[in-house]
Amino acid sequence: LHRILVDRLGLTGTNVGCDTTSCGACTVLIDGESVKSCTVFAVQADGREVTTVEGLAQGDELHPVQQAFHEQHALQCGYCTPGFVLATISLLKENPNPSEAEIRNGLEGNLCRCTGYHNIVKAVQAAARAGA
Amino acid sequence: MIPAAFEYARAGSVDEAIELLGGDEDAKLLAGGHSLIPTMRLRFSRPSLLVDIGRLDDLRYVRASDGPIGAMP
Repeated sequence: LHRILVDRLGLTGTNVGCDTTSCGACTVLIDGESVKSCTVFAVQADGREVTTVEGLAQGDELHPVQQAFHEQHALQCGYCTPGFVLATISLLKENPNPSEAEIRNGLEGNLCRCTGYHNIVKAVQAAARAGA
Repeated sequence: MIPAAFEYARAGSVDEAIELLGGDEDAKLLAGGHSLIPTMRLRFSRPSLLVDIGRLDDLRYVRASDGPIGAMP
């Protein structure tokens, strides 16, 4: 799926990290649920709605989760960020008010090698408070 | 990493999945795919046909009961 998104559709916001389903950098939503797009065949998404990071902001207005990541400085290099933002949206859809432990558990499929996760957790909490 | 060529069929029912699987000895079931697809991409696995059971709502359940669980009860 990620090759279709990036190479054919030119949606370059979906990053591939490990390419083996471990790191979560390539996370997108299919019908609102997070999946790792390096390990989904495009045909599996046939007829379903795929959301990438490009589809979140409304014009100049960031999605509340993007805004929270920005305000809480939940990134350094930013490579893992699109995947984290989409995984967070999926998490908050299932659990709108997660505890810190539930956030860490819910995002355990996404790896960040810069931040140590602390600010990512704060961003998810801020997004939850904002009703994202 | 790109997998070897394969055919793909999306099963519309459990019976259809069984029939498709029985018609090709090198066919494999595709459910979550998070083990199968990486091995296909590394070419450790080269199924001729993938039978996608990802949309079979008949199989989408977890049931609790008082009965025993075990392969050899």
